[in-house]
Amino acid sequence: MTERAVTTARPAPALRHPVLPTGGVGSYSVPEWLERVNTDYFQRRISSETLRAIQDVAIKAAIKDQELAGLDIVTDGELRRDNLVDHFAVRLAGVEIDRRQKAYYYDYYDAVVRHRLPLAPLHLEEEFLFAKGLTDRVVKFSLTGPHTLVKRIRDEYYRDQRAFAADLARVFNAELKRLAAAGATLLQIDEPYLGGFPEDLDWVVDVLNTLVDGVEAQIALHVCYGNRYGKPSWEGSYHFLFPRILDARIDVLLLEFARKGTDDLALFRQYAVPFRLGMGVIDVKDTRVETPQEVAALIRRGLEVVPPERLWLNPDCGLRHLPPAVAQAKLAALAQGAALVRAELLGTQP
Amino acid sequence: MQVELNYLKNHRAVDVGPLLQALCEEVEATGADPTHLYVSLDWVQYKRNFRPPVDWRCYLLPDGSLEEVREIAIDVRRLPAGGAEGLADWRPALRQALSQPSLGPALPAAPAAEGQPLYLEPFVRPSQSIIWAFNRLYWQHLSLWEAVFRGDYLAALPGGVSDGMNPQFWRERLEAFLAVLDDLDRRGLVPEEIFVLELGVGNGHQAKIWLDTFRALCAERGRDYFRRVRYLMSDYSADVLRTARRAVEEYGEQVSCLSLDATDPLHALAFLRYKVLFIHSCNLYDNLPTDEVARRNGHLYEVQVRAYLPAAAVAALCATHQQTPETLPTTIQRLLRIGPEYFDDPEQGVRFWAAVWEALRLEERYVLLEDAEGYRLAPGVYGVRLDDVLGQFPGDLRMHLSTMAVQSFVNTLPLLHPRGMFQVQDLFVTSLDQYRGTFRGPGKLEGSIVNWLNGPLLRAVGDHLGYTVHFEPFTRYRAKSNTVVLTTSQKE
Repeated sequence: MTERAVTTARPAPALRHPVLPTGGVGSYSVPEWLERVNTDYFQRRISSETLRAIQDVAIKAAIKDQELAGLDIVTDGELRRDNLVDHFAVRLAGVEIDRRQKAYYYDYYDAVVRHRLPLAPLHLEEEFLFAKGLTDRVVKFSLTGPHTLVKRIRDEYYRDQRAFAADLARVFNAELKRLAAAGATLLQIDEPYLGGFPEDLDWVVDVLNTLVDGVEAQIALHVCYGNRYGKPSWEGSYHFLFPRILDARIDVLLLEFARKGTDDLALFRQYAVPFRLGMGVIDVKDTRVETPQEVAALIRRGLEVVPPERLWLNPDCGLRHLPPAVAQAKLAALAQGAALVRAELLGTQP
Repeated sequence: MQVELNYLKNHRAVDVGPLLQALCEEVEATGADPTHLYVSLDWVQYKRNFRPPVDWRCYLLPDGSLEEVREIAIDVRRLPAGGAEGLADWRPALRQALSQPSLGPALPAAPAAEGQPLYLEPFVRPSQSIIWAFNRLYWQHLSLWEAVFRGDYLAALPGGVSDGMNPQFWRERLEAFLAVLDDLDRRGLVPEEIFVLELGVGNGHQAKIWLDTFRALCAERGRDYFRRVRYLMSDYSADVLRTARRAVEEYGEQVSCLSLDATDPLHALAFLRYKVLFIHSCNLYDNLPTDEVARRNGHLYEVQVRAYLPAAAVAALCATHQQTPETLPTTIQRLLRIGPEYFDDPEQGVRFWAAVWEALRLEERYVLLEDAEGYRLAPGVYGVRLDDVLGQFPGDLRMHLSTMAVQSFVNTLPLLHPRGMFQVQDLFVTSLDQYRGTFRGPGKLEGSIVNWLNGPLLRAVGDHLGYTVHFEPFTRYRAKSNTVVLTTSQKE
C-alpha cells in the first residue's frame, strides 16, 4: 500500500444510516411520457407552470419508488433537469443562452459565457427542500461539477478552462453552503467528463477543493464514463485518478464497477484512501435486472479492499435512461443485495 | 377519383393518358363510385415482384368493416404497348378491380377451387408474411440454388457488382478508422483486442477486402493494430458462413464465424457491449422483414398482406411438378420447413421452390390505425413515434417501417465502442419525399426479397438513442450506384 497523508476533513455532519448504506446516484427513470412533456415545454406547447406541476408529481412518485425499493439515501430523481448541463447553465447568472427552444428536451443549449460570472444564487435549495419535505430518508442533492460544465459552456471570456472552472467553483461553493444551510447533509458533485479528459485531473482537484471549502455537509464525488443517452462516452480505467484524487477534500467517491468489472478495486488496496467508496453495483446501461445474489457477490468483492464502514453502495450512474419498472427493480435488487451482505456481517437474518 | 402518380423512373415520361381513359370508361361501365376511388400508378422496377399489373386494395375499419374507399394499384412499367388498343387485355382486370365486392375469399380450409387463387396465409403484417420464410430458405440453401441455376447472387445485383467491395471506399473508411485508433492510442486506450463485426457476410469477399486493406494500411503506416484485430463474421445462414469463411482462410484464427440473428446481435454478443470498434454491413437491412403504413386523407392505415398463388400458377405448378391442388399447400409448407431435401431429388425441389417463388403474389389491404400515437415502430424501439417522422411531412404517403432493420440497428448500437465506427451500405430512402417518386419494394432478387429502407425513420431512432445518423450516396465511388452509406456519430 502506498503511504500518503490523509487530507484534513471538512466540518461535515454525520449521517444516520446503516452499515453499507444504499442510494441512487442521482437521476431516476424518465418515462417516455415525461420526455414528451419536457419536449412540449421546450417547444412552448405547455407552460412552465404546467411542467412544474407534472414534475412535482413525478418526483413524488420517484421518491416513493426509492423508498419502496428500500434505499437508505434518496434523491429527487433529478426529474426537473433537462440534462446535466443546461439545468445549471440557465440558473448561472452570466451564462447567456441566445436560443431557448429545443427540438428535444435532452439536447444541449448553446450556452456561452461572455463576462466574469457574478456571485449570484442559483436557488437550488428550493428543489432540495421540495424533495426533503417528501421523505424522512437522507436526501442527497447533486450538482454537475465545474469540469463538466466548462467542457459544455462556450467560453468567450476566460479563455482558460481552469480559470473558468475556478470561478464556477466560487459560485457553486456559495450555492453548496446555501444548500447545507437549508438542511442538505449529503451533497454530490458529478464529473462525468473527467474520464474523457484525464489530463485535466491535476487542476480539477484544486477546483474541487475550492468548490467544497467550508461546506458543512458530506461531500460525494461521482466519476463515471458517461451516461448520456444511456451509453458510455469513453472507456478506460480509473487508474488516471490515482494518486491525485486522494488530495480531494471529499467524503465519498462514487465509481462504476458493475458494468466495467472490479479490476480497479485494487486501487483501493494500493492506496491509503481517506474517503469512503461509493461502489457501483448496478449496471445502468443494461435493462437486465440483477439478482440480489449477483449484487451481493459484487459487494463482497468490494469488502475485500474496503472495510464495511467505508463502503457505500449505489448504481454505476443515474437511472434516467432505464424504463421505470426496470429502474425500480434494479434499486430493489441493490437494497436486497446489500441486506444479504449486511446480514452476513452482523450475523443476522436478511 | 384521386390519382397518385408514383412512377417517376429516371425522369422518363410514360403516357398514362389511354390508361386513365380506359379506367374512366370502366368506372362508368361498372357503376363504381369515383368519389371513393384512389388510383395509384407505380413503376415497379423489379421485374420479379409480388404484384399483378392491376391490383386492388380495400380499406378497413379496425372492427373489420369496409370503408367506402377502394384503391386500384397499377404497375405502369407493364403497361401494354399500343395505347388504347393495347389496353384491351387489361380491361377485364380493371373491371374486376373496380367491381370486386368484398375482401375476396377467406383463407380456405379446403384447397383452392378451380379457377381460384390459392391463399397461403391469412392477412398479416408484411413482416409476418410467409414470403420471409422463402427469403430465409434462399439464404439457408444458397449454394444449392446457385448450383441448380449456375448463378451467382452477385450477378443479380444492379450492375452485377456489390458496392461492399469497392477498394477506394474501403481504403478511405479504414484510413478514418486508423485515425480513430491513433487518437485512442495517444491516450493509451486502444484495447488489446480490436473487435470488428460484419453483419451478413455474403460470399466473404467483403471481409477479405476489409482485412487485406487494413493489414496493408497498418504496414504502410507502421502501426501495430492489425495483429489485435478479431474479425467476427456473422450471418444467420450456416451455408453462407461456410462459403464466406473460405474467402478469408489465410487469416486463420483472427476470423471467427458466428451464426446469429441479425435483428439481435446484442443477444449473442452481450460480452462485447460497447467494445466493438468497427461494425459494418452491406445489403443486409434491405433484406430484413418490414411493415408498411399508409396515410390517406389524414388517416393512418397499417398495410396487411396475404400471399397467394394465382389460379393459372396453381394449374401450371400442378402440371409441371406432379402436384394436385390438394397436395400443393402441404408440399409448400414442407419445402419451407425442411428445405429442398424434402424432395427425393433436391434439384427438383429447388426447381419447384423457384417456380412457386416466381408465381407468388401478395394481396394487400389497409386497416385503419386507431391508436397511431401508440403504434410501436419495431420491437424494442421506444420513444419514437410515427408522428415524429410523419409529422413534418403532410399529405398522402405510403412508407416502409423497415421493422427488422430498425430492430437490428437498435440491438447493434449497444455493441459499439464509444469511439467506434458503424456503417451500413444499403438502399436508403433519405427523405420521405422519395416514397412518392418511385416504388420502393418489395421486389424479388433471385430467391430473396428487397425493400428500400426508411432513412428518416432510422435517423429518428438513432437520434433518440444518442447518435446522429448520416447518409452519403455511394455515387462518389460508382456513378450509377443506388447504394447509400449510413454512418453514425455520437451526439453531444
